[in-house]
Amino acid sequence: MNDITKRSVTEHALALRRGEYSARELTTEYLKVIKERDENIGAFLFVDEKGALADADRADEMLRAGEASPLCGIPYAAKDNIVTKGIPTTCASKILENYIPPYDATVITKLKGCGAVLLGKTNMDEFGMGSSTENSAFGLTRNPLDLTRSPGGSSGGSAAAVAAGMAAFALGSDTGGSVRQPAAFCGIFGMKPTYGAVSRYGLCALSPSLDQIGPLTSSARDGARVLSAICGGDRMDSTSVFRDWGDLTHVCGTDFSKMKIGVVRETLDGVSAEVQRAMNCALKTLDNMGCGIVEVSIPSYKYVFPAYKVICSAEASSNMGRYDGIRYGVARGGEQFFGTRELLGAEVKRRIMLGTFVLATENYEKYYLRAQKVKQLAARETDEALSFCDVIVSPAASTTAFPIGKAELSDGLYAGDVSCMAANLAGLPSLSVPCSAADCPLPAGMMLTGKKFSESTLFGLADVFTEAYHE
Amino acid sequence: MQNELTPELFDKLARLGGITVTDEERDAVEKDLRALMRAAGRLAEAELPEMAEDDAAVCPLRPDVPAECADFSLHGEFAVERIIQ
Repeated sequence: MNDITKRSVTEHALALRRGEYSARELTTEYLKVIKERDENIGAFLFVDEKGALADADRADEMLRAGEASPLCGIPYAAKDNIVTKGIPTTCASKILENYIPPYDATVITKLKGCGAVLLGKTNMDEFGMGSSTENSAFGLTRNPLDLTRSPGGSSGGSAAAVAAGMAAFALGSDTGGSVRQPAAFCGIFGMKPTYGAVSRYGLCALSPSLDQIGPLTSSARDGARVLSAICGGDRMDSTSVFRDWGDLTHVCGTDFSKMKIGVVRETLDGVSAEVQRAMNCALKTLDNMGCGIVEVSIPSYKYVFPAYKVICSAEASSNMGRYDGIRYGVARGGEQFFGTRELLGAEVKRRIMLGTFVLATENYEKYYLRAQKVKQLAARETDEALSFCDVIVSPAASTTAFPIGKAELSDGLYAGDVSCMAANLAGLPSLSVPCSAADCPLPAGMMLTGKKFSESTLFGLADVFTEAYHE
Repeated sequence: MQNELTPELFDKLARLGGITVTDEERDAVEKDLRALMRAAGRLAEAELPEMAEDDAAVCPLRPDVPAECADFSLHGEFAVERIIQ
């Protein structure tokens, strides 16, 4: 990997201002790394070399004019379910192959305004359905830390791009851990912000009551910088929240020794030995930092997995209705609707069928309504747990990166994502922070979950924790 | 609709969902669908505390807006924007 692409967003921002290199030179370096490495990794579905260099030239002009945004001239990648004007957006599905959106998602518009440079679009599980980036219609993505393993998913392409030094940061979307689990597998930071913190206008919906766009970065401080740039209310997304966010990096480097950390009893079992050891090590570091560790309980966790599956499948099956060859999707053959939908992958078909099942009139109350009740119950119990502590700690995934081809769609695999899913059900911000067991070459993820809109606290704690962890 | 995944129910779900499942895909889809239905079944049997029905149908940050309205407004915007353009 070229040295320059190992640097953080913060380091690039300083170097660009000092004139150590230009945005064009920086972008050229990242494009070079993509050419060298992505053939083996498969993180990108589309690299927009021409557009990136044009963005970089604009950024150089902004920098010369004294543009203050810390993201000006920084090359990034976006998950392929975030629409980009004039650039293919496929959601890793054959049904949207060659679809070129006529507008930018709000997050893309905001980053353009900052002068950030879009390198391209990253691979994912088709429509975000999966947790291994193997369910892509255009080939799988490999984990840059070990090419025989999965980068996680569904934002696996974004995580792999950052971990391999092919982008300074990336955007992903998280419905039940799709930013945090790949971040954990690839040894980087991944944030699922508070529900409503980031506009989803232009995000191809999977499950709109759970979806959030979030950053994947190589440091906590970088994550805070990116989130500061993309968060905020948007009249184009009625669920987005208008509030004063300020600079989310402001608490990085401050004293967190008085923090009370809650460990969720229900997540202590059912994780692999490596993750257990990594979590113990991380908790010891928090303890050494002076944080108080308390045990908290969220009994509804045992119902989180089925509730998540029901809500997600029900909403996903409704959403997929628009891919009919008329509104979206390639029109095919004499039997337009069914002909078009033959292009959907097996996992998408499974979720449509389950969604159809749980939304049937006679099943609605038994499944969907009960799932919504569990969602509210999980939110209440988590709020209650957060009244005894400042931050909840749990594993971001129950295993380290699994070998490619071993992501069987079993209860076991989904169960590992329960603590991630709980944060989506409760609408709370949640950050995956890399940690690892001493004898394990693969990273694990410690997940910090806080009260609504406590993103700056999570980034700040992660920043101090990371420094203490590596001492 | 029954809860056991019979061939008839499988075909009905596929038809209502607007999808065609090939013979090669059928075994894998059936296996996973059964696992997902078992998980959903655990929810149906769960002993949940009494909650008002309204509690179950609100957007997390906008209690004044029914979840369906808040959540699905996005789709309209996605589609309408495209038509306008």
